[in-house]
Amino acid sequence: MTDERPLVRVDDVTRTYGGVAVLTDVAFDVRAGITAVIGPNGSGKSTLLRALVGDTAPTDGTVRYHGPATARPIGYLPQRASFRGSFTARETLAFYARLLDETPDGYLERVGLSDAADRSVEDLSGGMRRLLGIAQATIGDPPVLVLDEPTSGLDPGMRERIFELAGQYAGTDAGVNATTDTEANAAVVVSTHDLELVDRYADRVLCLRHGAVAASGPLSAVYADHDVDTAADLYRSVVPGASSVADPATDSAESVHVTGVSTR
Amino acid sequence: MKATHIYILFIIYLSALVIGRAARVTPTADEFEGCTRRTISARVVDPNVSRIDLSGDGARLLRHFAWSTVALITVLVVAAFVVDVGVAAPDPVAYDRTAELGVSAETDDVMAGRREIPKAQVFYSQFQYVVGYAGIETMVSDLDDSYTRRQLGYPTAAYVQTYDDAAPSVDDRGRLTATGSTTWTPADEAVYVIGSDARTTAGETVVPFADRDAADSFVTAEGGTVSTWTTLRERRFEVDTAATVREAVPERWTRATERIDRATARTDRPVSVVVDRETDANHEADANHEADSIRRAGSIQEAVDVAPPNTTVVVPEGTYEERIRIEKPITLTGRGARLRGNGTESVITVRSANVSITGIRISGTGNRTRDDEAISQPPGSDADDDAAWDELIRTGYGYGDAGILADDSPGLVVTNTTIETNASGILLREGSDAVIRNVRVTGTEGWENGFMGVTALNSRITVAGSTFTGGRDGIYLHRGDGSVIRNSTFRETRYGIHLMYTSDTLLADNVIRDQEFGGITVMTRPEGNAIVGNDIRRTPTAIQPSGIRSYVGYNTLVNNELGLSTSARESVYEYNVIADNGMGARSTTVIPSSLIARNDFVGNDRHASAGSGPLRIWADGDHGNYWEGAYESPSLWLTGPNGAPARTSSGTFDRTYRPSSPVDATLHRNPAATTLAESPSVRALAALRGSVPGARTGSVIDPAPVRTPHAPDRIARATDSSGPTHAAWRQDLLNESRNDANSTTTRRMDTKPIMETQPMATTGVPQ
Amino acid sequence: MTGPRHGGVHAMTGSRARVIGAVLRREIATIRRTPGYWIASLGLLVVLAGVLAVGGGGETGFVPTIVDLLLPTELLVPVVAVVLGYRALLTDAEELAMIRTYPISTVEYVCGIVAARFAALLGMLVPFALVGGYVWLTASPDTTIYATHTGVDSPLLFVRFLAFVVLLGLPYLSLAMVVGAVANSRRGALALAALVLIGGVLGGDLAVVGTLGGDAGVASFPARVAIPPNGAFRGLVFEHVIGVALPPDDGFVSSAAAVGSLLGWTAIGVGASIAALAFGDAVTDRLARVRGRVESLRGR
Repeated sequence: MTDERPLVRVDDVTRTYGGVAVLTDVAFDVRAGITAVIGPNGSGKSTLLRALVGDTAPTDGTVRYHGPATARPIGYLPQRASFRGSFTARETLAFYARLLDETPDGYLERVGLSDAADRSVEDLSGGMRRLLGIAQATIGDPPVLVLDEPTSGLDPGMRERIFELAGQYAGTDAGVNATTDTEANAAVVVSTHDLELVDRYADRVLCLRHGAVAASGPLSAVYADHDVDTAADLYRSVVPGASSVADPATDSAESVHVTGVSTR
Repeated sequence: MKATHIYILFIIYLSALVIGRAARVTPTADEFEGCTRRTISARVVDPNVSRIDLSGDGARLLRHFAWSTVALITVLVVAAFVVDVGVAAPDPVAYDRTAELGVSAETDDVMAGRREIPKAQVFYSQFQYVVGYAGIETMVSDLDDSYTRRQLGYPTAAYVQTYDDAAPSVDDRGRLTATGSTTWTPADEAVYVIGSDARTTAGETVVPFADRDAADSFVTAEGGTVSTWTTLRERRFEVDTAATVREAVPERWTRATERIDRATARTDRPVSVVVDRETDANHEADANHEADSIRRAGSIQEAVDVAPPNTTVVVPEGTYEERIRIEKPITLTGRGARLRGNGTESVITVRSANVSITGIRISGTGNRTRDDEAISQPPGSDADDDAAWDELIRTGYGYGDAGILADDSPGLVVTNTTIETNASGILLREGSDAVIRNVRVTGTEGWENGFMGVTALNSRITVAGSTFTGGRDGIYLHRGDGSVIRNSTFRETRYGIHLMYTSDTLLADNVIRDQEFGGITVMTRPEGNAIVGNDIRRTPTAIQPSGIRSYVGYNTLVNNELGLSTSARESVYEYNVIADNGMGARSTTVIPSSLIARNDFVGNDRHASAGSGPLRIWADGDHGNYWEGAYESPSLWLTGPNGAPARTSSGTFDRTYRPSSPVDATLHRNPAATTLAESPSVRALAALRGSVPGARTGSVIDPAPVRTPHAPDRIARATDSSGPTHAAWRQDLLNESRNDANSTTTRRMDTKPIMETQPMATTGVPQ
Repeated sequence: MTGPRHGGVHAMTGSRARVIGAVLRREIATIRRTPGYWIASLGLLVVLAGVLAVGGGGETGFVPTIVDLLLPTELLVPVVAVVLGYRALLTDAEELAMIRTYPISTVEYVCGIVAARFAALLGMLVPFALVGGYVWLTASPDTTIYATHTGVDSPLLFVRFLAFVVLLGLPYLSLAMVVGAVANSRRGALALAALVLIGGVLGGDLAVVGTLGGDAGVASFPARVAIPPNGAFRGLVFEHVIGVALPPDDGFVSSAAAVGSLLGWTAIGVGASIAALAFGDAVTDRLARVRGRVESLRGR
């Protein structure tokens, strides 16, 4: 959380779909710790995250990775990640692990899925699938972890668990990985509507509005700038007309996606 | 064969295992399968590495198996392309294990080992049996035959029997004899003596040698020229075919007529004795004094005893209870006489040449039908068994009871006679050649109880205008070469006419009804039989010929379970009307070698089928059979402005008819089958079948089905009434300008004109 | 898809073979667990058995069997291959996005998929081998009275046929995979796959027929016949299987051209699949970028 060299530098990224700008001149640095990306549906969170992992090329601007050289610099959990239903949890992870010449069991254990390792994906609950997705994202221990709305549609306990895991990975909490060297440098970028959890777990916040950065920086600094105490207040202050946080119900149903044709 | 396959497979598998093992230790293979245990990530400690999952580390056994399989497939595929499957020439096989074509090996000379027929064996690419040829000539003509190629494929190997070490010679009757043993030599390496004095029953014969010198010395002794395989194949040979038999049919008819005429003439002898039961023994003595007048005798036997040779004994009306023995050439003429035996043995026993019996009603025979021991053993297949069977039949069948029994009595004539019998009606043996005309034999009810209407052993018979009802077989012939049976009626026996070891017969214009087993049944392997113009109905198998070179034509076969079995090889089956049978015709020979064309198939449950063997093509070039239900391809359905088919219409349909296919088989009973038959899948299947030679069990096709029946009148009469129907075949066979004079009449005889010089029989056609 | 597109070092910690192997194994497991493929293979077996039963060639030997199977094979093998292939690269974008964060290139990924699908194709064509085995066991002379020989009929001829069957499946499989890589919905993929099927099975030969009237040389005809996969397959079967049993005769097709054609179509399919996955998004991205530039210029 010290200001050292960023792991990823996002530099004036613009992305248009069919002439409609979804991101406009977004610039920020990804640094160690949890960075929460918040903003209304359609504000460009998912597109930004996809640009971050390289799944979407910016129309303009650059995304540069500056972290340590490793086989897998960035782990990614898409918002609607799907796994092959007929595979067990272990088999699912084994495939990804094998791409890095690793084995799956440690990663399963880390997210607490060891007991469910031999259950097939289609038999897992929504929360467990999400945990499996996180395990996937952490394979190879990438310095940067990008999670796109990992908590949507989950019960409060599971949301909490997800953020706990993110915290452990980032090393901001006394987690399983806190002792190793690279861990101190791990960054987790997570988009979410769970502003309460942002207050509790995030180190930094990035608030998007209409595809542009409305607020960005360490949590405390941003709160101070906007004279708010909570992420929810920040949200209300930054996003005009937003009387409250987005309704969790619509949250899970709706998606900000590559189609990018947003409400604007 | 199978053992070889398994052996090859085993070798391949072994090599696959070896290769699989080798492949397994190569690094690439290990990398690919990921079987190396990698070091565990420092960060993620997993004590459970050995668990089998997608990350690899599958069981070694499984991997071994997988690689072995891959190697096996590789080896197999490579082998499939490296091995030249087309060339391997098989070794010759024992001749008696071949499927044989050619000159019959059953003539007396051959069976007795007095005559050699040079043999050949050919392996065809698409025929699983080895084809044996008795007679090199037959092989040569078969090799060039397009039907052979279409049905059997091309020859991959051919061997001929060479006589180098067999001391061959030709006797004064043209018979090729040999004392030593022959060897099999590849046909293209052998040399051939053509035009020597050697002949078979079918014509000239070629004698092969492996060595040129041996051939030359044979030529020096027996004449002829030495030829190579190449020049031999360009030669054409004068060899009898079924067409020869067809040509001979009118002649056989005429000869029979002549025999009947002669018999009639012979029977007409001056009356010497009249039987008079009032006459006592003294009178008889008196009578002896009147040398020039007609005598009287008290019994038939007395009359026979006193009658001088070549005179007639007259038996007036009345019933006579005695058994007669005739040992001199006389005529026994009844005038309303009934002769009743005592229920044992035969009623009339003939032991003299040229005896005539006419106008007598005979009954009271014994019921001994045969020597049961004789028939307790079925005939075997090899020559020794044949000889044994021959003897058993001769002694067993030849010594039962009969209305008239003749032993070594050539020239017997039986006319206008009625016989009621518990065993045989007329029993002929040992050369008792006989003319039987206007005879009526009534046998037992239930064929198991009685015997034959006529039992003829080693006797040539000429039967005309006779009727046989009940009993075992109407006429049973054992070695009755040259017999003629015509214009006779057979009802309710086991077989109507039953030939054993009997060749060169003519069975014509007979009416056969309601047999228990078969109408005309030819057994063993004779040659040259002609079955012409018969009308056979309501019988399990109407005509079942066998042997080779038979002519089966102009028969009308109605309401039988099986109309025609095409079981004689190298034969011609034509102009038969085959109507309303369960199965019209069935092909049973393993090698298709017969011409089956110009028949009319109407109203049969199924028109035709085939047993094991290659594809059967039933057509004579571009002229096939008439099949009710055969039809034109839809592309020719459209008609032109004048109502004629839009395209040139020939006498045949353009669409091949496949009587053995389930779809085509129902066409004549259900027009909707046409809709199915035109389905792309059915058409595609049909097109594929028959496009390649080879064994196609049960397949019959007619590539040129004829539009209109060949004998519409006969069909109409056959299906409208149960009255006898006979074709005017004699005119046809004598008439050079036949309906289809332009087409080849048989594929082996395509240049000779139909015989035209033989005069028509004008007299003696009975009834 | 060359790993993350950032400047991070693409460390080749694992060998290419391992990565391909991982994709291959997962793909094979997926195929094995998809009942549809089993059913398709079973259906193939049923059809082949039916053809065998109706055709009757199977009772007597391999060559008659092959003759009976030739036409159904030309239709069924492409169908099986297309069914197997059209969804292979139609994985959802999210999964691809995840995989792209791992050190695996598009080439490796596609190679893994292709290898697995090829292996699966072999598996799905097992009914052909079963038919051959059945013929081997049952096709025997109907009588033992006569000496028999195999004539020009050998299990090896059937093995040749099997090899050609696989060769026929490969181009359809790989071309169907292009469809999956290009299409963005299952329905679209299905439509495109049908197009591949019809175009290949019917269109190819018709196109060659179309050239018959032209000035194209007679000499090149054996090669031209081999251009469509079906023509190449048919020619090879005639030349090396059925032709062996017919009177010595050849020239049904140029063997080199036929094998080249089948492998060439396969290579084209694989190449196009790779290209579609590697550059499909890039093209969209490039278009968006150009458009953005144009609009920004206009805005000034």
